[in-house]
Amino acid sequence: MATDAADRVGIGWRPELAAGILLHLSHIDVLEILADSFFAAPRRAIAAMRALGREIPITLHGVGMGLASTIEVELPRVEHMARLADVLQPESWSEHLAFVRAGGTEIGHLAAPPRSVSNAEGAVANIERAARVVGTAPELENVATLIEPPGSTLDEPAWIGSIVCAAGTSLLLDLHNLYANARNFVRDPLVLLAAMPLDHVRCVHLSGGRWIDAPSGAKRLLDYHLHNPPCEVYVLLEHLAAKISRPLTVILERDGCYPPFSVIAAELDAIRAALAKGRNRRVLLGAAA
Amino acid sequence: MEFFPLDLTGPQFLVFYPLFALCVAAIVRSLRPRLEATQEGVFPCLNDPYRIALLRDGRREAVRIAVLALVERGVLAIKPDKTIGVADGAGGSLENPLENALLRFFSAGGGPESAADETAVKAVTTAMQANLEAQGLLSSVGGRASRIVAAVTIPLAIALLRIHHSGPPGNLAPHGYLVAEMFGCGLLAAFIAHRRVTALGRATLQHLEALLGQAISRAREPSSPATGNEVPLLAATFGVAASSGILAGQPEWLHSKIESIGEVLDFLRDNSKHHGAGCGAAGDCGGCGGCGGD
Repeated sequence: MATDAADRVGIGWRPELAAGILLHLSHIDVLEILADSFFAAPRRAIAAMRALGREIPITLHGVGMGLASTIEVELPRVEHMARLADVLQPESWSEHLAFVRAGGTEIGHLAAPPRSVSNAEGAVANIERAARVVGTAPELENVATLIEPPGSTLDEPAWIGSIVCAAGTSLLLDLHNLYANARNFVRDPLVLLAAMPLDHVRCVHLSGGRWIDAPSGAKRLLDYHLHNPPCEVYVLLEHLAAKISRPLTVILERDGCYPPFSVIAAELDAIRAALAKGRNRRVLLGAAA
Repeated sequence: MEFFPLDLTGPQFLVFYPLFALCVAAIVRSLRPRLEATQEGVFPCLNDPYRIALLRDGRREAVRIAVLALVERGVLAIKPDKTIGVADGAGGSLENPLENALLRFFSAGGGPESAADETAVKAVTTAMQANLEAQGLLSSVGGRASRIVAAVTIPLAIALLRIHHSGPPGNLAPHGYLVAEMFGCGLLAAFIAHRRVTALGRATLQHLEALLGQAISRAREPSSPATGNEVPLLAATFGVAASSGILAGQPEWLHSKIESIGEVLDFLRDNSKHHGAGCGAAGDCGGCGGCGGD
């Protein structure tokens, strides 16, 4: 299925999907590697990934830095990323706008920090520190949250916008995270999408989640990565492709309950279809204007 | 004091000669990866299980993996009498040339033990082999020959010089031990210098093993049946014999699938034991002496 020539569709590399990915390399434009799982990997595994990276563009995705914090990012973690990037030569690398530790305690979760000016300043300082070590600034991913972060003085789009603008980097827009936050806090996902700093979006994540019961009895959408992306997320992708002209790299994420690769290939086709619809709409809107 | 090997006494030369021959063979063998080093790390797109099997273990392994794929897809079936036949309702032609050749072979009632030697199957695997040679993954016949000639000729020339140096030309009788050593060392040198798979080919296989073998066991749930070619790819990379050993890290559906075709794997393993692991009697998988062992 044709999309805009420069749009690309890829998938997150997971060992469980390795056979399917290798067999379908011609249908995959880019692979996203979970950097943290390679920090302590045997040299042989890294060499294999480097070789694979010569066949297909790769990007690195980190989960453990905790950049969105007033606490200084831990230098060894950044150095791990720098070393891996040096070996694998990825196109880019990304991290979450999340906090993951404080006071020596790992919370084991990509938590949404207080969306405040001081936190944004801390995040920008951390991003600049990481960029100095790795050589390039990370693309920054929005995270999903089940609660409104306490101590927030900015809304999510303003907080993210202030960080990506000040750090001069790109936004990795996770559309399922955006959808989950909209649903969890009774907002229109399309309005939330429009409020995001879309001029900074270069890469998109798509995944699925599941509904859980909150202690209050309300329903919350948990970003779970074990399910196919819901239809609403494809609608968001179509809107995004209609709104911005910049080429997009869309990555499908899956972290378990792996289906046969034919199911995943169908998801990749659906992503291409949504991108194509969005791009066509953009052309029609341009013609009408 | 200068050391000149041709001046050594007979017994001394008989000790020196095999050491020298081994050194030459080792140098020829170790120089080869350096000559190929420009290609090290490149990963030719090898997502074809049959080419991987051919690279790893020769023509018969490629045929075994193709049979496995066809049985798994329900095109071929293992009959109760332990022969392979075309499954009920299957037929027509297949897009993949190796699969198509095998389908025609088994349609005509051929037995599994002779599948790899059938003319059409051989033609397809020979073409695949040429492709692997063109990609630099398998040594060409010329490349192998030149290494073997280098490893054998140099010690041979030294031995002939020694014979010439010490006696009348053409009379080998006093040099019986040395002539015997010449043959022995020649064979040993040829064995050491011979390698069917190139350094790039070995790196490719290692990369595949690393990429496919690093599966992490996680909580898994059964899922819908597979439609892909994952089982043949895993079997091609690790070998039919090792397929059961790679179950642990695979997703549940793939785990179940490999288990469900256990009978086919057993059959192919048995077939492999009885008919050789890759080279077979014909020895045309790219040269004997190295099949499967490289």
